[in-house]
Parts: sequence; structure tokens; C-alpha cells
Amino acid sequence: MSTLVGTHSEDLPEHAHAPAHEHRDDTAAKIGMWLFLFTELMLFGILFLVYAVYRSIYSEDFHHAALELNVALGSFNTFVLLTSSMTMAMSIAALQKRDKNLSMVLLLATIVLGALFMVNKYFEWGAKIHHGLYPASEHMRTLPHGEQLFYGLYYTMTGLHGLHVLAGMGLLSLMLYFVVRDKIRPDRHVMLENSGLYWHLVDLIWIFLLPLFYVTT
Amino acid sequence: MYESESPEHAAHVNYGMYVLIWIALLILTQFTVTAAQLHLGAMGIIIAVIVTPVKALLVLYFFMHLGYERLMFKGMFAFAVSTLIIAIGFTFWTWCSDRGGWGRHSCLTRGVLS
Repeated sequence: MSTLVGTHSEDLPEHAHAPAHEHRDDTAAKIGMWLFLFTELMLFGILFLVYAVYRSIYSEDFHHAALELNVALGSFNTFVLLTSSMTMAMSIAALQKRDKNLSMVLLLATIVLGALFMVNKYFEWGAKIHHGLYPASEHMRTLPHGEQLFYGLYYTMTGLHGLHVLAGMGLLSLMLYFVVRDKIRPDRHVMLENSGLYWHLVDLIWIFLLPLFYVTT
Repeated sequence: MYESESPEHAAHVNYGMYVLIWIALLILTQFTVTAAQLHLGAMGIIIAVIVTPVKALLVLYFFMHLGYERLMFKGMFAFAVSTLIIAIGFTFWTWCSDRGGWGRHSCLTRGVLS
């Protein structure tokens, strides 16, 4: 396993000052990250199940409620997240190619795109709330039961996803700081890779949320 | 295949390939959105059901480097996804069997094809 740590210190005289006794297991770190991602998969997966069951009971209501959602905004946010996933993957590749500046720029772009996603989400939720479409509102109580459930799931699932975007942005900001301070280097970048995995998971979940709420009506 | 894993695997991935995957993901997204807007009914949903996992696999395989990881990672992923599919599949199975079975107007087709 230690052969996978990505450290070839003999090739990297500039990092010869790294302590010789350092023990790292990047494969173990990556396994840990994947295991964590699986728990996230279960969390959202079960919410997908709840959605599927309620959709099958209240298919008419779900169809009607979904028409209220802004497909253009949902699609644009998909474009934003897919692009951020690409810049994230490129940022890791740039660091491995020893282009620190490019890696930092791409990492910053990823964080900015995450912020753009949240700004869009703010306007989207804001418009819904402005129209009285929020849990337990006066207007919501007048809607059929199935539509109430649809909006409940919409706020729960996109809200939980939004929290993940915010957490990802925080994590990537920390990684940017580490890259700037050379705590993450070409020979020592598993933290950046694992943070990237988290960011891609956030993108992955959104890929499934889009057809569930916005597109397939 | 997994034997070819090397710690520098991602360094072999060039930027051009990431751009290609990104373009493919955008095209697939547009395809799903357009299909839904054409009001193709069940076909629009079937397209989404097929295209969405393809998009997910592209992200997993290329962006998350699962395609370049050793077999162990792929096995772990397959195990987790299988668990989820069993959890969802069996719950739906039980739930549907209690409500009219699997005919044309079963709970499943009402939910998916409505």
C-alpha cells in the first residue's frame, strides 16, 4: 500500500527537507474518503426512495408541482456544477504536473462556481418563498397533499444538497490555503484529491436531483 | 487493468480529456432537458432514466478517477451501489406488491410512466 503514496522524494530535491520518518498511507486515506462518500450515497439514496414512493402515490400532484420549478435555472445550475467538477479535476492534474499557479486558479474557479450555484439557489428559493411556496405557509396549506409533499422533498433534498455545496466550498477554501502554503504539494496531494472526490459527489447528487425535480415532469 | 495503477495516474490525464468529458456531460444534460420539453411522455422519462446514470458514470470514471483506481475501489463502489439498489428495489417491491402488483396500472408504472 505504501507504494501508492505518491511520494517519490528522490525525484523531488526541492522537498528534501521533508522529515524522513514521516509515515503516510494515501491509499488508506482514499479508502476512508470513499467509505464516507458511500454513507452520503445512502443518505441521499434513501431520500430518492422516499421521493419515488410518494411520486407513485401522488403522481398527478407531483407532475403539477414540478411544472412550477424553473427548468432554465435548474439546467444553468447543472452547467455551473459540471463546469466546477471539470475545474476541480483539472486543478489536481495541474498540481501533479507541478503547475502550482494554474492549480490555485482552477481551485479558486471551482469555489467561485460553487458560490454562483448558491446565488442561483438563493434566487430560486427566494422566488418560491415570495410566492408563498414554503413549508407550512398559508398558501401551501391550500395545496393538494401531494404538492405539499413535493415541495417538502424539494426543500429537504435541494437544501441538504446546498449544505453540501457550502461544506465543499469551505473544504476547498482550506485546500487552497494549503496549496498556497505548500502544505499540499505535487508529492503530497491526497488531501486535495479527497476534497475533489467530495466535490464531485456534490455534482453527482445534483445530476440525479435535476431530472427528479426540474426536468422529468 | 488494475495492475496498471500508478500513483501518478492522474498526471497522465490531460486537460483535453477533461474538456471532452465536460462537453459530453453538457450535451447529455441538454438532451434530457430537450426530451422533457418535447413532451414525449414516457419516452422522455425513459431517456432521463438511461442518460442520468451515464452522466454519473462519466463523472465517477473520469473526474473521480474510479476508472484508474485499483479493482478494490471499484469493488467497494459496486458493493455500496448494490446495497443501495437492493434497499430501494426491495422496498419498492414490497410496497408495490401490497398495492395491485405489477400490472399495467401498478404502483410502479403509475409512478414512472404517468
